[in-house]
Amino acid sequence: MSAIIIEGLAKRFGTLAALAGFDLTVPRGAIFGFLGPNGAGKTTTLRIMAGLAHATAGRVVIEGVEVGRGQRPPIGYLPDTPSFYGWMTAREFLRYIADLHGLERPPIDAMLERVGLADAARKRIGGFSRGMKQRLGLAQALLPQPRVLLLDEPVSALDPAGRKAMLDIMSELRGELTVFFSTHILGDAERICDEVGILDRGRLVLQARRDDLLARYARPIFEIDAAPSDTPRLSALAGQLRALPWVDRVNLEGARLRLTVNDVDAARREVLPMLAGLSVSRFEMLGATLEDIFLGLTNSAGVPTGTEVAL
Amino acid sequence: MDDSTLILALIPLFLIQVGLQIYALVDIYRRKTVREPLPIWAWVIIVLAGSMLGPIAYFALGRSEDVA
Amino acid sequence: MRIFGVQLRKELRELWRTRKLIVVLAVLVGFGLMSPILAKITPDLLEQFSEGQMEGIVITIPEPTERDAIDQFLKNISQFGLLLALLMSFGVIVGERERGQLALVFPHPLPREVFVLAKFAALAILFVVGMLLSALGAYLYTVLLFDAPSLGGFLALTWLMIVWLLCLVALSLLASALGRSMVAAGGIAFVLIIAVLLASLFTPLAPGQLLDWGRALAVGADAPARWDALIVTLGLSALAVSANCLILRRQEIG
Repeated sequence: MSAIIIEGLAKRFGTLAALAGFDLTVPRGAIFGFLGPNGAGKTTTLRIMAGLAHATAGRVVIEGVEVGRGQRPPIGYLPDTPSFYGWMTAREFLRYIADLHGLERPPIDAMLERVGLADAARKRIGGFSRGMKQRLGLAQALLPQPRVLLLDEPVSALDPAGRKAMLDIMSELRGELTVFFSTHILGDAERICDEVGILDRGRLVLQARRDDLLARYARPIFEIDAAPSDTPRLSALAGQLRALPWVDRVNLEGARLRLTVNDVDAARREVLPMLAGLSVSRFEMLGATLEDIFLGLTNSAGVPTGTEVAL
Repeated sequence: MDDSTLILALIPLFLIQVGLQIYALVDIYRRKTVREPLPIWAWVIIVLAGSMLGPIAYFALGRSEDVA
Repeated sequence: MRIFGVQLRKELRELWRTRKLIVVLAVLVGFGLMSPILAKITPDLLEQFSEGQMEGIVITIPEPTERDAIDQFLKNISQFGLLLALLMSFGVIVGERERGQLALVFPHPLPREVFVLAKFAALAILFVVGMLLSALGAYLYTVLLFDAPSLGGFLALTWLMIVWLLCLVALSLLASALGRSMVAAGGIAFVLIIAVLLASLFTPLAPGQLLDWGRALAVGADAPARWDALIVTLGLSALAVSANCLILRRQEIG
């Protein structure tokens, strides 16, 4: 069974179509990255899923419960910039949330420990940093043990340390529940997602397992670093390579040669021998990144919008 | 009933009014920040000039820590 | 009901922690104490003023009585109590929405009507307690400075003022749900309250009539009972709170 089923979801604000009517299914237990540039409609989708906004058309079913039909689906939700009651302490806020859910013995201290706020449990939230609030936001979403966790840009506004801490906590949730999070930062999605969907101008342009996606769109790139004194010989090599049929593009920047190929096997066989006599300090094959795919899909005419790419 | 009773009767009132104003000013001083969009000095003037309503306005609308 | 209890506790704790409770109580008590004093010293002030200004003209100002103290109390509460009801209520819902606190708590099992009811209940408790303390202060000082007015009449006046104030609170709270921003909510609340005040000029059923009725009961004057106005006021308050629940339920948050 699927954790999240979105069917024909559309949302208009006056004449502006924020969501153009898209379908999306998220398997149970996945860490799902909901990608898209700013303004693509990610936050609107999440707000509808959390019951804060109403869809113009279409529906969202989470763990078998349709959103906005009276019953509350088992979700935990973290808005992009959570704001709290500054006069409460972290522990008081979690106690309040637990009381709303009628939890008998809520694991408040364990939860604060888990998100790294054990030391700040008795401090007023009014004095919390951005990253602390983000982690407390995660704690309040997780406390009632939801089946589906909805996170809106959970790491975008954090500094590198805060981002790493947040991502680590999120990947520890793997297997425990379904995590659905939006981001415009691809590196984060690439690190922890099992599956990704890409939204652009209110349409889902792609949904796939991350590994399939990387394999399918892989356009391997080879990088060769030589000693600076060998630059002339490297540029001669670049000329040689340009003539070969399996080479798409050759880039030479100082003592670094970047090679884009269309036949990985041929490249693997033939590049290395050509390096004989060159003082090579590094020879590496780079995979495609989500960023390459993302830019290709959302910017250009490469993929027609509105069609799902089957993988 | 003479004037001294009246003056005695005025003392609690005076204490409430001045107490509230001092309370509000100390609160502003301790946080060193107020809620948007008015600046701190505007709230100081409101508290001082608004007799008892100044502190009320500050605690209802100007105090910053209610948000986080 | 359980959730209402949780939410009411949160609202009351918020009033306490953000110092609003103590400040409102102090101000209401202050106005209670101030009223009889003002009634007492007003003639003296007038006398001094007129002596300086108009020499030779003798103005006889009658000795003030407990009636003047009651009138002062009524006047102060109807002006500053009104302001207080407005200030304490119009920002509470729109504020939580604007700051994003609602987007955090509404996905939890907190029905929006329960949220509204708890807000109103907390403000009602604040104003009932505040007004009772204020009335106690006013009564004690009136007894100290004048003769004792009828306790029953004074209590009736106090409760009628409370009903009137809570109607204004309900209307300001409605404005707080309607307004898109803090300023807009303040404007709507102001307009609603002005409309209710003006209604007193046109109909004996308006909430403002409760104050005249209360005054008559407190000073022992002859005036018709205004049960109809009382029912209208309670009905208007209930209507405002119900409308508030419906509006917030349909509203998009965030």
